[in-house]
Amino acid sequence: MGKAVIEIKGLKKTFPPNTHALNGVSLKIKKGEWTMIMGPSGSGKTTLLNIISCLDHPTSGTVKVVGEDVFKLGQRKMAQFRREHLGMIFQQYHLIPYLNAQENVEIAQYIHSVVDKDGVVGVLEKLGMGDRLDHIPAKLSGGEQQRVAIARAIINEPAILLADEPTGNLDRKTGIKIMEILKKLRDNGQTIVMVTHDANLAEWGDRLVELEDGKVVK
Amino acid sequence: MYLKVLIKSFRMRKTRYIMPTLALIIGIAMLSSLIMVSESIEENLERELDVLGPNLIAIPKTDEIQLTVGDVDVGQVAKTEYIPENSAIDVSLLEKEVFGYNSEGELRVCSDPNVNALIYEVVTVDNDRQAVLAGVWFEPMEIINVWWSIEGDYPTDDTGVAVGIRIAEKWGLTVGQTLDLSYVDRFPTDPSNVFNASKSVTITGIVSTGGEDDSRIFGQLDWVQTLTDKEDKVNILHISTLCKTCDLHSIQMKIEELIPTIEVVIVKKVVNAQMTTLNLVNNLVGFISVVSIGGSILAVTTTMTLSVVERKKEIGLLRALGDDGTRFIALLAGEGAMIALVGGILGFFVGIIIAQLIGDYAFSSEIEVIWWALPVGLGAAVGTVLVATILPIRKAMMTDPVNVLRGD
Ligand SMILES: Nc1ncnc2c1ncn2[C@@H]1O[C@H](COP(=O)(O)OP(=O)(O)OP(=O)(O)O)[C@@H](O)[C@H]1O
Ligand SMILES: [Mg+2]
Repeated sequence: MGKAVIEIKGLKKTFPPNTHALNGVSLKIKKGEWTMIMGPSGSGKTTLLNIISCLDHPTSGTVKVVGEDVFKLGQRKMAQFRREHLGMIFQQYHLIPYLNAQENVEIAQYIHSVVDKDGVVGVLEKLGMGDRLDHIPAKLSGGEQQRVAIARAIINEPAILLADEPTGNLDRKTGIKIMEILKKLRDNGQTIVMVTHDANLAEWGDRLVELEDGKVVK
Repeated sequence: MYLKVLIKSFRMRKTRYIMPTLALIIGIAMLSSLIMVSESIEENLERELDVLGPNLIAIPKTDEIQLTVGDVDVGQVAKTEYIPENSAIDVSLLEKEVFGYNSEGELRVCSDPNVNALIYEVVTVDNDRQAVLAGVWFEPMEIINVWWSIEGDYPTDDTGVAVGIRIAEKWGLTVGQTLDLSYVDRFPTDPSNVFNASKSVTITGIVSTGGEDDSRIFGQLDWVQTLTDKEDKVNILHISTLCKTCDLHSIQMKIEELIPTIEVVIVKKVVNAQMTTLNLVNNLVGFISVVSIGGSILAVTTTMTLSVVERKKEIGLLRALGDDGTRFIALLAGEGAMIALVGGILGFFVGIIIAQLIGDYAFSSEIEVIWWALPVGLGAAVGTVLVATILPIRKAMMTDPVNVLRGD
């Protein structure tokens, strides 16, 4: 732990006509740290996460991820940066419906141009999905789908794992299981940035960042 | 992995692809049947031109200028009109200047003309039977009438005749038998001095022609002329030239211009009618294939666009995983390629069937399978799908991952 993997300075994001989703956010996130982002609905949490993951562009300000000033990169380089350094999980899992669990993880490898089937099976087994490899998402429970999504996010060993309300669609018990998985990842040195609504879950993190009206309040 | 994803996504949406693939199959089927019909019918027509005998017939000119010369009786002149043998030789020597160029003066690919000079006279055979004796040039006759078959040989000198199968059967004639031919001028100019001659000949062959010629006896032009007192005279010329781009009218005019004593008539009405049908069918089928290929472009575009809309979450996800858009486009292109492959190949085979139907219905002839229509059809299918995927690909490129991944 120590050195910053994410450095955000004076970040603003305005949606037309004049929604100031982020209104001057500055933030440093250290390597190996599990950062929780909380805040009321509409406070800009998802927007912040999308910008860190280079899916969205800031209106102004700089974002450095693993030392790279990401918004100075071109489209292609940015996509490459994303597949090399970032892993993402979403509230809605976003698995590809016609691929089975294993293939849904392999697709991340495919985009990264490294294919290692054993690695995929290994990760899924570690997440307790060893007996569900050839199930398509429709045949998996929410918790299982999210585990597949986590496997997909970490299969390329990203520097940062970004999670937007990963337990938002799950019941409490299943949510805890997902949190346990994330904790294990963190214990193995994974940097995690996670958005949550739930104050109880926020306790799991090393650090809490609170947003309100596009600003960091804590 | 690419193939796995491609096949699985295709399989999931397979019902969606039925319509555009069908549309493409119809388009390609029309195109390839068009190719097959026009190729084989044209080839057939060429063969028929070859087999049906002469394309042109030359007869003595019977226009008024000639008829009113001096005080000669008009009817009389018409009846005894002949083509001088020299003119026949002249026609047979016409080559490049008439048959080698079309009316615009461009070189065209025509075969050298085959010219047969014929004279017909009624002769008495073995004192009691009558038949038409034809004096001919055997060499060009064989070429012009390739479908004739002969049992035995055509005569090679002035002692032999070939006998048509019908009189051979009627009279019980066989090869090697001798016939006595005698000729009497039935329309003598001077009744007190009637020409008559006779000759003994050997049958060298029995010829089957499938037409009137089955009742004729054929001998070399020279001795027939001598026997019938028609030295250097010919009744008719059969002219045959083989090509599909030839403009028979310009050949006709050119011959008449060069040899003023003859009149040239174009035969082959049947073939011309088939040419017209062929053009009609070509235009119709061409129109249908353009329309149906246009339709399949629309159908493929619609389906692909729908696919992009339905899969926008997938596009967004691939982006989030670090795709710069090319992977998804590759998937879309792959689906397009499958449609093109299925449409092209099935279209070709359906085209074979359609071509047979057209051949049966419009030409009552069998249509050959033209294999090079397969790559042409495949190419057209790929082209169609390429055009059809431009818009969907643009739509996919414009998909904003943030928007599609947000909420549900
Ligand atoms: N594409 C967009 N166009 C316009 N406004 C947007 C867009 N995306 C987000 N916003 C607005 O920006 C603000 C911040 O949205 P954001 O999704 O970041 O909130 P959030 O903190 O994630 O909320 P929630 O807890 O409900 O997920 C909101 O007012 C939202 O309406
Ligand atoms: Mg949100």
